Amino acid sequence: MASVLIEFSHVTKKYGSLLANDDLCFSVNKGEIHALIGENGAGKSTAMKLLFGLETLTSGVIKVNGSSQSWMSPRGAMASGLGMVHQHFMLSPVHSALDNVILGQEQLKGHRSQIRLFKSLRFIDRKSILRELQELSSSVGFRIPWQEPVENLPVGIQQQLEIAKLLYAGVEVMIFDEPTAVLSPEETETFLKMIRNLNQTGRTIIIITHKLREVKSIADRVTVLRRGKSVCTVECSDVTVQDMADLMVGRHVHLGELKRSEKSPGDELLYIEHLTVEGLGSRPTLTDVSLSVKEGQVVGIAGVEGSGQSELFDAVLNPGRVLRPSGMNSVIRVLGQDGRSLDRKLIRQQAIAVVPADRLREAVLPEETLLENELLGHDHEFAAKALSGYQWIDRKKARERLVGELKTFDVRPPDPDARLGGFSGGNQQKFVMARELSRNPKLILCSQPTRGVDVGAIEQIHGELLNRRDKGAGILLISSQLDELMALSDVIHVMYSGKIVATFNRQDFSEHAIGLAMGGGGKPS
Amino acid sequence: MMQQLSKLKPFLVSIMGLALGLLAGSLVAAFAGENPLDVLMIMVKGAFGTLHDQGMVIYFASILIATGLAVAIPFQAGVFNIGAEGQTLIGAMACALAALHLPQDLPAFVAVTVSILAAVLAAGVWGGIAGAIRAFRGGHEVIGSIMLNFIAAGLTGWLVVGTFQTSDSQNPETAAIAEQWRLGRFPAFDGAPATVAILISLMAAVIFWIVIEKTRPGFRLKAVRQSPDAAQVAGYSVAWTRFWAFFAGSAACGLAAAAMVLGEAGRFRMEMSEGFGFLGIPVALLGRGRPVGVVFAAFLFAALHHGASALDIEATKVTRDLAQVIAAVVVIFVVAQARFKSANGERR
Repeated sequence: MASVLIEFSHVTKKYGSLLANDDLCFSVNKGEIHALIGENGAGKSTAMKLLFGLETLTSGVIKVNGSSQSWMSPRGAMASGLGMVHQHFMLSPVHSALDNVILGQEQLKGHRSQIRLFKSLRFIDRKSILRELQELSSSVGFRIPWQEPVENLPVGIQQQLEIAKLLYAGVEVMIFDEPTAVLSPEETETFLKMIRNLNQTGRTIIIITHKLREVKSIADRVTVLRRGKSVCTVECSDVTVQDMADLMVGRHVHLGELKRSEKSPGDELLYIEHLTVEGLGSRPTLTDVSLSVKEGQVVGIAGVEGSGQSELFDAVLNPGRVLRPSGMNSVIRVLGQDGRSLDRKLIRQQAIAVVPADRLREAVLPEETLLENELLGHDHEFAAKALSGYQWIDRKKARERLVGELKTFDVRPPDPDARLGGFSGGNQQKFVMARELSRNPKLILCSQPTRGVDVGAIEQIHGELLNRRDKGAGILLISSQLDELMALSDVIHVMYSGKIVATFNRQDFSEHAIGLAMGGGGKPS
Repeated sequence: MMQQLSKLKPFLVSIMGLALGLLAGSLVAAFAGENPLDVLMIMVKGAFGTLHDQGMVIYFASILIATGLAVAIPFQAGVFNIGAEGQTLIGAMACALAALHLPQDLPAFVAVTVSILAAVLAAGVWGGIAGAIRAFRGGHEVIGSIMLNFIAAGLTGWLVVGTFQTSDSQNPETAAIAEQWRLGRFPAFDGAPATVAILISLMAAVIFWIVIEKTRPGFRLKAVRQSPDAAQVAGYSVAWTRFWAFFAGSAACGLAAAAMVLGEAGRFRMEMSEGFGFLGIPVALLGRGRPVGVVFAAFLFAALHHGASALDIEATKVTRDLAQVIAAVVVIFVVAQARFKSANGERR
């Protein structure tokens, strides 16, 4: 019988009146791969923060190795053999990979990396650390160039570095928060292999994730969280992906093929030809990008994050700015108008819906109410006449409209005066979709429409997008989720370092071929 | 219930800050060997004791509402104007020059209006320099506006000593503006320079309120303050919004300048803004950048400022500088609360 390593019993955590964890009970066995799944706001991250001492318990006990957890900081957790790889890496971009490993450990008194010269003067022994790290790397299969500054390393390698940091610190239990969200399919494969390696050498792994197929392929046991409580812990081999999705949401979720009507594309809504945009700073340069979006067509843009998708999105949002300097043969036509004469403001006054990738930063004002957010980018629709032109805002009209939208898109709670930041990720995104799609746009520009959104809301958002397509809207869909692109798109273009390297039509979609192209090894289009 | 409480909270923070400021002032007075209660009484009496004192408080408030707005308006767009001192000086110089050079046969109402507009425009343009550097070039507005303070002091000083100094006076000041072109003083206040300037400043605060609560430009200010990225995607010009906010805020200093030049001195005097531009910062902070808050805070600081001047005469061991101690503690407390709030906001 496996021995219990970490045990949550009756753990409750309150933030004000909000119950983040509600009488949570589950345990992790020594040497297993344990997945924590649940919708956004189900309490996964809170549970891990409690385990790490980043937050304090309201009530209940967390036991590690039989004794109750007593540390108040990540450093204490590290000392007891627990380590975490956060979704956003905690690396210093200007330091070398080697120095990033040393960072934070050099201060621990009497650490093995130090050469002591005098009583209080301690030097860092980089040579011996490097030797130790190289041994470690070869045993796990890392490929980290240790002297290279972190900012020059690809995301996959940065993640390996995060893991190496933990290994070097002697961590026995590794916790991963959404580890594959930023990886290409290929990198994901490598990552999963590495996890298996680490597990076989005796380490216990906890993975927090949304990606149920990965859970299925790698985990030993799964704990499902819903509204702060643990619904159940099951053997991974006993359940299907569909079962897990249903358990997370608490009702049956439709995961399979979505209904789409056969449609031949109509008039051209967005046309881009030979678009070349110089990248600023570390951003990639768009090179000779050509594509078009027609009525009743979903055009997907695949690619590892940072391959030029957000530059493409920005270019369509403000065509005038990118076209004016870069000259001759770049063309952007939006709803039949030459992009040269369109700026951001004019674009927003067209029948175009805009759903940017980083919801909290680009699509909403988190501190404001839903009503104020309804106005964002749409204030011209509620303009009333006052002394000098249409500068007055008719909030009554906006409120009426918003109440209808909230109902149609099932945003919960449907309260126009609630602060947006207080809503769950899924409901925030449903609100953004409601604001943008309820205006019957001809063209929909959307990027990462389901990032950080739970399964139930994904189902609804996908359904809504396809519904718009069937009604004749054209959609430019940027996503790092390959399954999302394959489920929705009529055409997929794959971007790699600022270029379109491959194009697939719906009948020849293949996860393998698209994944390969995303990694830069594409077939010529 | 909870919602009502959270709406009251900013107000409570300001009250707490004020209480703490008074407490600190009392402690300082006690250390200096004065009875804190006596000191407090002297200040209250100094501020409200006579009709003339009350008139002075109103006069100072008309200035501080304007300089408070000068900080609060750009603050709505997330930019920080600490150049109100220089903007007021430039405005005052423009106001005096306009009043001195307009044809003498103009009706008083027209001449006064034109002089005030000259002050508003000049102050706006002066602050607009820092605003433009921030909005279009990314240079920090705090550095820009504070440096412009020095340039404004130097420029107006040079003008008043060199070109426009009156031959009637030993002091660095311009000639006097015709009596009939000055702002009328309310007769009730025993000759104190309480003028229609207070009504103009209050009107500016009302307009500010209407703009941020009811109009599209006001909404754009809010969007730009909270999230420049979101404002960008929504199609608003972040740069122009910031620039106009800075310009409008600076322009408010013109009203403070007019209150001084047309309401009190009747001329431009070197360094005549006496730090009222800087006092606009604590006024805006204590008033939380909101129109109503700024008006209340302005009256409060006006009373504090005028009341403390009585300390020079009536107290032996403390001077009017005690008012600065109180103001400083208030500001520190309010700013620390703001920090606390944002640290608390990111809890999940």
